[in-house]
Amino acid sequence: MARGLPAAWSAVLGLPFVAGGLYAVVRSPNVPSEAGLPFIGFGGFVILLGLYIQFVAAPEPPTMRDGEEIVETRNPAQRAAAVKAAVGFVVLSVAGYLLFFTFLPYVYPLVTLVGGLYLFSTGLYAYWTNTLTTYYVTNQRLIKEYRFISLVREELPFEKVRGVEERRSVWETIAGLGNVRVASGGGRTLEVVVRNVYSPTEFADEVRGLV
Amino acid sequence: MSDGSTVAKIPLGQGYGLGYDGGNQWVAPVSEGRVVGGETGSADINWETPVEGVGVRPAVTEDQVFVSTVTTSPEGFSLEDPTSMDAEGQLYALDITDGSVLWETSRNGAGAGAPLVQNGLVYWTGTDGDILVYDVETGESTWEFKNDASLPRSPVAASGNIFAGGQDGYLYAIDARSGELVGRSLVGAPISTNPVAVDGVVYVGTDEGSIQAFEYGGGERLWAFEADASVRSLTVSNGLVIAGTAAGYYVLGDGESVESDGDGDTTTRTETDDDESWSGGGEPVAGGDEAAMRQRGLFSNDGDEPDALSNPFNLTTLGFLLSVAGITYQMFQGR
Repeated sequence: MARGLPAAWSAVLGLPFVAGGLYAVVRSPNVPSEAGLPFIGFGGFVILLGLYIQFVAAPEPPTMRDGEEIVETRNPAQRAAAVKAAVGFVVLSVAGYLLFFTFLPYVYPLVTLVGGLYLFSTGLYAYWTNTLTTYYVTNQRLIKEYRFISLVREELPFEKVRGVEERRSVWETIAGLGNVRVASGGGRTLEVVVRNVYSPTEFADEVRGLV
Repeated sequence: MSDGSTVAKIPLGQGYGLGYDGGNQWVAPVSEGRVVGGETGSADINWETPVEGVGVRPAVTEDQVFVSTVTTSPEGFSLEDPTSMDAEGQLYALDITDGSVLWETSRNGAGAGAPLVQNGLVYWTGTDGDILVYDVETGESTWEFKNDASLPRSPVAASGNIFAGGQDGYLYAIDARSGELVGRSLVGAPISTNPVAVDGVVYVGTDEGSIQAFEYGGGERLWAFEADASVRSLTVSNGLVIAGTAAGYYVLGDGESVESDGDGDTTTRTETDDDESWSGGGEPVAGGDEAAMRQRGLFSNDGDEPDALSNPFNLTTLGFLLSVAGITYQMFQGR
């Protein structure tokens, strides 16, 4: 089962779309009733994908080698995704108001809808992707696991690590977040980028200590 | 003030709708295809102008008379059910002093409602659903509001808007200068009275006996009252709404209770911020959705855009599908 409550949060985010769509179908005088169907469909998509992520998609912890043990487990922070989804949700609410409760030409609600959908969708998939991503630091390897339908596992043995790079933008510094890039040397460089983690300096130092 | 005494009795024939008496002139369209006029207080007919069809109540300015006629016989004329008349409409602009025709125009549907004159423009509704607007002096068309649903009753002007009641169960608010649709309010049954606009509130009555009050500009329904029969006329004065129905008169006050002088019963006006309490049939009649789709366009509400562009289903479906595709693709990639 995935960490957090993606099913519950997805329902919270998806149900307003279903409700808005039903309103349009049943009684909005300002749009044809079928205009509510895409809203219902999108809301249903969000709710169902949240359920899938909660109960089906989460990856299992990696199998440990002999003498190997997990030192630390990290997950990407959800703060940026949540803010993006929330702002997108507000913009989409404005779009719904313009579409269902006013008689302005469609260009106004639709432009708002496109902007809101971009923010909301990018925030939502970031939230879901973060939910399905886990970074494991063992005493031998750094492992990134992601599973939506198929499993993606990236790992880097510490004996091959040639560099640990830490990056924080201004906004990430303010939010207490950062990215840590761990890379091997040589021709075909292996690397694992640990994104959007809290206390990245501490994490980077921990990796350096294991190298 | 009138004392009720007869000043002049003029044999004119059958009239449909009221005549007009103002200033020093009276004007009356009569059934035999003519409009007559004279001086107030005199039974002498000063002028007589033949018109095509049966005229309804005129609109009058200082020097002009505007008469809408329906090109049918007096027997085929029906003020009660204008939509039943399969006839064309004519609009005449007459000189009030001698009755000469200054300009005239026609339309496909019957113009059974009196035209409205406001700020140099004359607004003319009809059963074809259009609001046609002309310059009072030249008769040149200023703008047209195209609508699928019949608008058989007279419009009313207030606060820069024109309000017209439709047979599709909507009260339309149109910008008086541009002809753009400002908004529309769901009434839920064919509107059977001329709208009345007073102090930010528009009142209408319906074929199904509902009397309703709305905020200006396609706003919220403030209240609704269910009468016993189809509403025929509506007047608002001194805070009272007076409605004539096929069963009797109702006087609706500001308070909770109202009086009906039809049978003396006391009935209750219902506040309807919560639409659940409204029992007037909250659904638009057939054709409402179709009308909405055509009237509300992508870039303007003038109804001249291709249907594909004016259908929010196509546009929102495209947006949501792109969004779903983007999310799914990114989720597969795990980025």
